[in-house]
Amino acid sequence: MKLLEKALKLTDTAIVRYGSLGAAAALMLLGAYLALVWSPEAMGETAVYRIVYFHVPTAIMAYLGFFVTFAGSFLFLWKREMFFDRVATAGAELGVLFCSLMLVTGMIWGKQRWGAWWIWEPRLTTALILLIIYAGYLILRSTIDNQMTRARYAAVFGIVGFLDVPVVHFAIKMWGSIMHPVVIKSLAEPGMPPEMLNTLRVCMLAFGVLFATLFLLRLRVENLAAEVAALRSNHED
Amino acid sequence: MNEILRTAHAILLKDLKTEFRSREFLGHTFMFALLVIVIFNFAFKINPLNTPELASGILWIAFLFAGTLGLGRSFLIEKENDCIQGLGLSPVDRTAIFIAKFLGNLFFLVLIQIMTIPVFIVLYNLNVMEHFTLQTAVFLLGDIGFMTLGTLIAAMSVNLKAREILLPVLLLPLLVPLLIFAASATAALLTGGEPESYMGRLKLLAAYDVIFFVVSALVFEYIMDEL
Repeated sequence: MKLLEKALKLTDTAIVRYGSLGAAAALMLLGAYLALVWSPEAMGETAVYRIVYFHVPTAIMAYLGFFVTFAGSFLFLWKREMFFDRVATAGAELGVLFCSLMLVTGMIWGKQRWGAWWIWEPRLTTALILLIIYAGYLILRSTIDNQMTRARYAAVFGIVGFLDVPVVHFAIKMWGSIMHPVVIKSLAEPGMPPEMLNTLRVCMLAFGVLFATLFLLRLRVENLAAEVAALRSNHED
Repeated sequence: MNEILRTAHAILLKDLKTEFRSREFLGHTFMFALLVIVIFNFAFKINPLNTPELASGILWIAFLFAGTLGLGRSFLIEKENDCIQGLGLSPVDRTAIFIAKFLGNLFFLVLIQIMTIPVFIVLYNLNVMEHFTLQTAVFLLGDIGFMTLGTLIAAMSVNLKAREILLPVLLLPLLVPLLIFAASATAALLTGGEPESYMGRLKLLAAYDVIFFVVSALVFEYIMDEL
């Protein structure tokens, strides 16, 4: 928590803000080069497989975002500090963003691999339901004006929604069949050549830096907005 | 614990009394559930061959929609004359209010089902309640999970500007697992599936109910304090 506050303090300097965005962009370009040019052909796959280097990181960032929302919601109800509510919002927004990217990249891959943009398969369906739940979270926030009410309702929904995630996944697994490829089965034996693994690592890092940067910037904006609101209400008094 | 149950009992009695004085709400919701069932007949071209497969889906969708309508009302009646303020100010445990509202909603949903299922059996010429005890267990466990999350989200949405649309938008995605467990259990019973298939689902439904009842009862006070 201290670490997060320190990182947030750093974003007060413009160089840090632009620098981290630049670093994310540079890493993303490097990742794109490695993924599209450097990485070898995959056995039994056409060139479209290369989208996996973007698909997997977006998926991980999406789930990270949703977890941040859960953690922020829980901490808000526990400690009753508005800061955690802002953490939860930032997490949900990023989660929805990366979840959409994951679905789009997955659909492009799926069209080539399965011949259909969409199949009602457990992983895809779970991701879609999650996207709907967290889009609902953002809609819920947007309809409440009172700050305290919004924070409390959103926190309750953030907790219930996140608890639903494993249940949704389990239920849908029972309901549908499994066709989705598992890219990395175990970290000890990744089952892919080192070039591919390194490309995936760089892309993961690029998306990680992008996530962290966007998260901090979003949090900063929320903090500034809260400050402005506080100043305004003081002024009106 | 006794105190909570006594309070819940008092609130529940009050809700049932006001509801049965007018009775119009029950009739409206029943009409709605009936309408869903009739409309599905045209949407799917129901015939004796596909009825057993589609029946459980049609029934559960009808109950989910009709139940959601009813949920919206359970807190809205408290809004009239600001009764909710009185409820919030009374020195009782919030959990008691949750339990009372939950039981009231559950009661009305079960009533709707008792009215709708016989009509469904006649119209679709399919005895849904052939395995009476097991099927009742499926419906009850499904209803409990539905009304647990429903009561929580309804309490939340009653204060919102767009409450009519937000209640289903927030609630239905959370109910996806419940719909899968319940509809597939009903279908397994209808098509004469293996005992393992529906017994497993009944246990899953029970687990879903327990998890979300505990969580909802715990977080309800945060909603209630803002009403």
